[in-house]
Amino acid sequence: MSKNKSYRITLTTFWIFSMMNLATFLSNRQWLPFSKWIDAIYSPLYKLMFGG
Amino acid sequence: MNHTINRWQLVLIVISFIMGSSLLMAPNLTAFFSGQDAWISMIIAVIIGLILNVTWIMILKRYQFRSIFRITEVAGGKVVGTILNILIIFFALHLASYVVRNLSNFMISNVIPESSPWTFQIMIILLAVYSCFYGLNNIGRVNEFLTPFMILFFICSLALTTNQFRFSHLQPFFEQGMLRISQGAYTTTGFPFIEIILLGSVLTYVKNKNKLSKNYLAGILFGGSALILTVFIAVGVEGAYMVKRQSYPTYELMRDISIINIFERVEVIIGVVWIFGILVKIVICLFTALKGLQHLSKFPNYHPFLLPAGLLIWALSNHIHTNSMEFTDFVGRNWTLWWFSLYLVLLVVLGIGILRKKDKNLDQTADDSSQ
Amino acid sequence: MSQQFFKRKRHDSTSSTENYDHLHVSSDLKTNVKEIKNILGESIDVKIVEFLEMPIPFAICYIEGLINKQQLELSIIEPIKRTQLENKKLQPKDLIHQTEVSAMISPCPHFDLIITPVLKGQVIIFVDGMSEAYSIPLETWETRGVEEPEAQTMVRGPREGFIETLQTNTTLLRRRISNPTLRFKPFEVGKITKTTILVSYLESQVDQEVLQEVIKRVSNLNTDKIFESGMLEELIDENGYSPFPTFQSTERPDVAAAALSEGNVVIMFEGTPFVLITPTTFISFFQAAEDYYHHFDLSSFIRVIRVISFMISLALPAAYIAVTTFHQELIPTNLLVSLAAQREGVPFPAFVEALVMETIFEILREAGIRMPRPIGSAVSIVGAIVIGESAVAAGLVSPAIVIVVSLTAISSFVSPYYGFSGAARLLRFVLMILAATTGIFGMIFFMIGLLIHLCSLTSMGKPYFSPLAPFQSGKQKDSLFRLPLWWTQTKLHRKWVKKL
Repeated sequence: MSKNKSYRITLTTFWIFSMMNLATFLSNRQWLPFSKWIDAIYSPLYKLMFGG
Repeated sequence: MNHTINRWQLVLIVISFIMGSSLLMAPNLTAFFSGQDAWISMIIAVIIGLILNVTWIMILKRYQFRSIFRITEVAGGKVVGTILNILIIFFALHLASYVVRNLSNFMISNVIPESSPWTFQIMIILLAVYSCFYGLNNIGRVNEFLTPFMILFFICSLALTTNQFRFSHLQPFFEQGMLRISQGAYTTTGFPFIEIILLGSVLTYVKNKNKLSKNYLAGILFGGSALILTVFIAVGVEGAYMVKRQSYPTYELMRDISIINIFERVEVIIGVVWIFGILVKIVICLFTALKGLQHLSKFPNYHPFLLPAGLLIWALSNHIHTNSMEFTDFVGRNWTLWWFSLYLVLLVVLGIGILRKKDKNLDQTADDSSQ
Repeated sequence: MSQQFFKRKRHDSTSSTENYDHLHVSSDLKTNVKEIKNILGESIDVKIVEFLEMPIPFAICYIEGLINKQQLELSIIEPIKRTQLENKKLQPKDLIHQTEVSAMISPCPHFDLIITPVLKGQVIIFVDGMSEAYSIPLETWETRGVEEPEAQTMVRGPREGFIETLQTNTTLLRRRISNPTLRFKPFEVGKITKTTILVSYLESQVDQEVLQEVIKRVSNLNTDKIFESGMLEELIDENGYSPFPTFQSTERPDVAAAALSEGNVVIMFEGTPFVLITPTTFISFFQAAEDYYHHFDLSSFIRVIRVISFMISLALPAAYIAVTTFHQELIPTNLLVSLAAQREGVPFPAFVEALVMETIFEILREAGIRMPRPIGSAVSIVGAIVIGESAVAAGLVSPAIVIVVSLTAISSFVSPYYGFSGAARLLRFVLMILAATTGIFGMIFFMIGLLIHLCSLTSMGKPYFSPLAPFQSGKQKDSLFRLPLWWTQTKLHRKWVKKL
């Protein structure tokens, strides 16, 4: 099976991303606060639509 | 790995996906804003969901139901396509982790308060990974076998509650005003009717693609109707005041069932129905993410990604929110917009692709549905 | 993917038997006799009879017990001697035509063609001056008579069972299916044992895809020794690690015949009364041959009972553990009170209780199979005391667990196929552990996992969980229920009924 370049890049990046999340979770820190980022973008929009 | 499914299996997957996790959440999410008019919100949500999905399926049909990851590359070019694919993968994994979190929240708050959320998270992720290991065909079959029973259980237990149904709980209609009603509809539109665009990665594996769009929409309609019925009965039996205050009103609803003192605690059955629906949803999300990763990596199978994907879902499901209140609040406020933006971006890119007649030269590119 | 697994399982055989391809039969009789003595050694059952005083000297070689000695004497040795003495001008090459046997005589130019036939019960004749030997089939050996099957019994239906001899078994099938398209395809398996197996099918009914797959797997089999169809099953199975059997093994000719007529492939095996039916489905392990001999309503009912008892034998102890440890609210209060009263004074948690009782039962069960017959009654008496009253009286276990374990045990005997109930037996313990740690929801997760597993299995490339998932409405007439035969089998039935 030919392990080509894009395979190695994708798998490595994915493992790193996954381990970053695992570290965030296990150390109980907020290094990757996706929810906060999403909230920051959308809550003004939501307020605009329904007035808070 | 065998990924082919037939249209009947697809319809059942769509129904499970729609009903699955929304079954317990929908009454609360709608009634929280629109009170006794929750069922009107739900109807509006189903209608909007159907309109969005009709548009979505029409566009996919123009691209001959190819895998969504290939379509984005064809329509938007290599760079835009790859970015979009990474986005879809993230959305899929993110959704999967929310669904997992949803399950563990439910188990901890309502069913077995003394146990650890990790138990349920790990078990459901293991099941999803196990099923994905065998390919889409597997969940198609499992779902085909269980969904009819699940629907039967669901309808029976719903029917058993109707003796406590009070019409006065629903009156007067349109009391809350259109803004509140649409606010109730807003949350349930995204969850589950926009989430289901992830099935774009699944449609390509359906064996016979004639009438595929009709089957897909019929599945959404059936699932949506079941949700409307649930909301209607939940509010009618419990009253809007109670439904607003419970996170999982359908489950509480079933608690009241008691038939000649033997069938106590029937709500465990609805719990099972729900768990299974959740499993199907997680498997579909995981499958979409894995397929996307496979597409990015150009690897013949997605097995190397199973382990990191499972770990990622587990980690994400725990660290996205610190507690379940924050979770519910976030889902209520942002979920629909968050998913709608993905929908919109995909729609725009694919629409531009159609305008640039990119959908016509799909045939020259290699068919990836065989893997 | 199944292909990969399949390949991995085949191990390279270390010792290969010697090959006699290069050894040609010499025209000198003594050299040949010496050679064959060299190859077969000094075994007492190897008989080499030399007739050196004859005008044309010849020698006969056979293995005692595998051939019909009387016939050898009457129709081979006698005629050859007689014609030689009567006709002095006889050429060596005409000698062989003087024998009076109806079987096919085949020439063997080298020793490879001699050794195997001799070991399979043929008679070899060496003639002086000929660089060929001749093999004459005269096989007969002691066989068991056709008897009633021991492992798969039934109330109504034929009393015949397969025996260890292939020839008898093929006869039993031929007698049931007088169809010209019935085929028996021979294969030789095992480098050391060289066992004969027959792949049988109805050419007109069989699914060619399945047949080719079976033939491919059987002929690619690379193993030294094989003694029972169970070994073959394990070697050509594509889901080796699954506890569920994907071959149906039966010793009933009527079951095998029914399978053949439905287009399945039956693999028969020299030396065992059990034949393998493939492809098979999960649901076919709940179907006994007797179902078709009884009225359909009774049969359907019994099938449902079988499914229920499978579930009981799989999950009852686990359910008991889960309910008594985690979900007491599921039991009606009165029952809960009496259960609690019983468990008062029992030192162990429900899980340990159930585990101990199940293990004791498994021990008794194994002892019951292996013990010499005269001790049987002793084991059953002791077993009844251990598993029953005394354990309760001694305060080791509660009475409820005795009921649970005995019901589980009885249910596990309901399955018409022994190998299948083994899956439930093994998984029961896994399920008990899950139930003791995570309660009823752990059991539900396990059941869904089991379903995922079952849906992933294939038998000869065909889905194992078949008429249920993928759902085939046409096959529902004979899956979980056995609907009336006139629904499925013949459309003539109704016409015929009307005429009368």
